[in-house]
Amino acid sequence: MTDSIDLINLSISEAAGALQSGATTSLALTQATLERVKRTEPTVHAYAAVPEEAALAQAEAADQEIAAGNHRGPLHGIPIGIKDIIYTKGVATECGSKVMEGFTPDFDATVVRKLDEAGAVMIGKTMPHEFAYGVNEPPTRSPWELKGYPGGSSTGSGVAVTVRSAFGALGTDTGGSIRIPASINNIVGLKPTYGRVSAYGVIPLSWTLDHVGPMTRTVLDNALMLNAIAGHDPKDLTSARQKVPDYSAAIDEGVQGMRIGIDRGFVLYPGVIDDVRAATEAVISELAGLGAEVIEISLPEFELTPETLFTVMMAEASAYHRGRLREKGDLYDPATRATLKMGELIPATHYVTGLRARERYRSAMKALFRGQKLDALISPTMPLPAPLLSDLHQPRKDMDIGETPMVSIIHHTFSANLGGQPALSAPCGFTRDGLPIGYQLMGRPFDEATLFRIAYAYEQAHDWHRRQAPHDFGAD
Amino acid sequence: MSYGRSKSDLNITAEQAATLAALFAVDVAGEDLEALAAALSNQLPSIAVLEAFDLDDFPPILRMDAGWHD
Repeated sequence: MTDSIDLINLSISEAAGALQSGATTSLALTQATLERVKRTEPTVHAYAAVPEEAALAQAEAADQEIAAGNHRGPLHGIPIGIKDIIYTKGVATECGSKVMEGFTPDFDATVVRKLDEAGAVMIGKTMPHEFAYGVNEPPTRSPWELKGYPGGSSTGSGVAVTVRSAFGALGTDTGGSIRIPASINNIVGLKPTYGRVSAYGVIPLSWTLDHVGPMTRTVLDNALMLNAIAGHDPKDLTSARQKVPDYSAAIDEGVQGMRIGIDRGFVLYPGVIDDVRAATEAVISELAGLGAEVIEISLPEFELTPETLFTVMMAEASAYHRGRLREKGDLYDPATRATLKMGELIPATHYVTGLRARERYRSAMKALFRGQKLDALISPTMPLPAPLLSDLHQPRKDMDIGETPMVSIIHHTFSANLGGQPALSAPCGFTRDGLPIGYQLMGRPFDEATLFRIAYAYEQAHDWHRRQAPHDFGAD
Repeated sequence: MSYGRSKSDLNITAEQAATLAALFAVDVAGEDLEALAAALSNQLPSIAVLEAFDLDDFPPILRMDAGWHD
């Protein structure tokens, strides 16, 4: 048997192999993870709830099945975190909000049911920004910079995976909420194609922009999680019927001949700091060296994406919360409450104009990918590393570009939500101050497999994803 | 709180924000009206960015479908 510190450092695929061969047990993995939760939580506060007894019972059941020769697949017996806006039957789902205090769903979200069917162990509910809106400050802290923005709104999911208090986690992404915490916490995060993963049982932020996706330590683990959660769900009206491939099947086939586009004018705009610019150019050079063709492209429609996204998102979020805001308005965080109230005052004509602009953007992306025969677009995930929390909403101090760090953070991520295209963030280095840098790939609808292939090829040549935050959490 | 990049001379007053909020049955405390007015002054002009694009041939997406159908 492997000792507990080695166990928690295994990837999902490595742990699955150890379980299948009998080198370890789900109970050992779960106990080691729970020990890690106890050690790290006083510092990082990644979890809203950890139902310890239920997790241990799930682990024991997994061990019995595996011992009887019924190994369900790579997630069987693996401890996974669930963002706390996703319904979990019998386990409180409080959305990071006093509004939902004590709410316990009587059914599982489809993604939770699918993880359960795959045999995963639910280690706990991870802390989000309130209702995933991203405007309040959750208690979660990233071990990479305890005074820094930990990423959001899948805040606890990103932190739990990086501190090894979960092998993987579910997040949700409406404008970057999986990819941003993935980048800040040196892990891999995927926003799948809109409709690829069911949103049934997930508290919406914005119905037409929300996506559920996996957050993991490696690209292969991400593909394995997507295998488990993707697929049509008749309970979700927005769920897509497209066939689900095996995302891990061709992951190691390389990038030879792939065409990867970059709009340097937009994605390497003046708000991108030098270390991020250099790390992104290094990824591009490396992919070119591996046989990919890098295509310089230009897409002016990127310019309409922020106004489009926020007009649509704010109107939809306020429509969803309208009743609750009147019943329990005083229980919302003041920042969330104020944003929801403002969203109610966006005229319907602005909302419809936003939906038209969205169609224009989507058409332009389709024409670009088809015209240039692109397999993916590449960019930094964020123009800068995690800013200090105290600086988040102040004008940037490092350059005079008329942006706050919060505005810069989402500069590259939200266009994928507008188009519904898949987008993946993966580690590609560190700043001179030791903060993680991520790069983003955006692909064709329902072609997550190509993003996994590109990111896997890059990951094989580096150990960025294996590096851990320089924090010992009171280790002996 | 502002995500917007828009620069505008629109200056919605607290009184105007209060009127608007009342029309839409949004309860806003007196001490929050200045902040709401500032946020609206930032958000509402952002529509001009979208209207600067030709949207004549683009109907609104009323049901999101990520597929690229011909």
